[in-house]
Amino acid sequence: MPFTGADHVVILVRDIDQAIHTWQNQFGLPLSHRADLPEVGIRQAFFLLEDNTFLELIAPMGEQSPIEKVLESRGEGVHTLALKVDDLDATVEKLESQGVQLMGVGTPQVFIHPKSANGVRVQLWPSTRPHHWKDKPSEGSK
Amino acid sequence: MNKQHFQVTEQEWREGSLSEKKLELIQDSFNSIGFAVVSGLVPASVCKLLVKAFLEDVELIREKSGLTMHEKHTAEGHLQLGPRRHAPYVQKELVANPILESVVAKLLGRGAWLGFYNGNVNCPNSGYQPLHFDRPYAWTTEQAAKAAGQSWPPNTTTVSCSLALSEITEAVGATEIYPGSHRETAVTTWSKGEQPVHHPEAVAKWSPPASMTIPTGGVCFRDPRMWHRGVKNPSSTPRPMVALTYHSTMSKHQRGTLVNLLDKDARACELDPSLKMLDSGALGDGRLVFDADVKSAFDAPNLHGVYRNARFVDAPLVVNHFLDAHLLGGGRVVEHQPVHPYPNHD
Repeated sequence: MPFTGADHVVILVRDIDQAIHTWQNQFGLPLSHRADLPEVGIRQAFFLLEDNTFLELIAPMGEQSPIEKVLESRGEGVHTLALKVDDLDATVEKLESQGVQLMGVGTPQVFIHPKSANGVRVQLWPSTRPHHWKDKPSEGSK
Repeated sequence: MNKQHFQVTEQEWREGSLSEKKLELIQDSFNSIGFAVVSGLVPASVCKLLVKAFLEDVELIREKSGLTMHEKHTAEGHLQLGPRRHAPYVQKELVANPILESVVAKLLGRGAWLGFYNGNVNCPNSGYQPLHFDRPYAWTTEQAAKAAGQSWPPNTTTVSCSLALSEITEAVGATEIYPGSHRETAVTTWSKGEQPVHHPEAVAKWSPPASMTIPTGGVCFRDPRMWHRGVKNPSSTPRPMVALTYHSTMSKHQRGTLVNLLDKDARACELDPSLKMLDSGALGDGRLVFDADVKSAFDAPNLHGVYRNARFVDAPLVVNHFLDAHLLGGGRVVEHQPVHPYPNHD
């Protein structure tokens, strides 16, 4: 079994403030951190859950945002499901041997292509990899 | 329809140009994510002809032992191989395609010129190339870009046009791309030879990657600064692709880079677009070379001011298109027939 658990889920939204309102006020999740990455053209919001997994909302920032095109063509929804793996290289090798279509092989960011995972992009997340946003001071949280 | 994929209407074919609205959408896609795909630009009959030739050429290459130089530098199974430069393999639908040229003119402006006529083949069970970009930034600081009247990040001065001779999908090893990464200005501070793989945080920033899927006869217009790489072709069939590279008129070096010219040399280039700065530093004939029997392919009406940049040689001279490097625009003149694969490949 290559996956040892869930790490996080990335959800693509059109309006970050509206989405934060939904997940924070309607669903009762605590907003842990917000960040804008203008050079990449995305806005992020993180909701840390009790089991130490988290939800990440991403929305386009500016007309040049690459994810604006994704939104236009596919709409809002689950962008990426990150699943924990103990050994990235071994997992890649095993999945490749089974004919699973992977992306980013050889880089630290490896994904299972949605065509090989029922339409969901799955990221292989090494269990020991840190999340830098968790170390940053919270802004915009309750 | 995906917002980065576009079709050509009958009316646009009649007019020899995409509509202005569609060109603006293509430009928007190109600037924001680094690419746009236009379907049905080259007829299936031309694609079929070229596929057959490519596969024959792959056989010739594989008859030689060992890896090609390009494979040694990138990954096994990825051949740098262009189309043949003689009749009937050079077709006006490829080198003088009005729709293709309308897109190039929109992205680079009038006076853009064809600087590279080549291609590649992804062979079965190939490896993974290192993640890389093909071109540096033309201006490496915001100050320099602004002084040249450019935005920051600046737009590209080069467009790569990848023609799918057969359908390109993940099933045949579609090129892996990192949409938006052409706007990563940190690359201007990297030392020579540094690539994205040396900067895992930057790779994470522009992840997830996508696949450059292109239908048969379609062309992907790509900003060559966008990070990409050849990946494994899991099928049993080689996947050939034609690559045409165009440069803006401000690029006066034969390889499409910006160079400082003396005023008299700049004037000479304006008067004669075939003149380019050569690797020697002198001005000279910077045109791509083809066999004379394909000259008529380049004579189609030029509606968009794109310079086709071709010269022709007569027998007994012929062009050897087996050139395993980006030298001389992907071809060189030899005095014997038949041409042989990669003289530097042993």
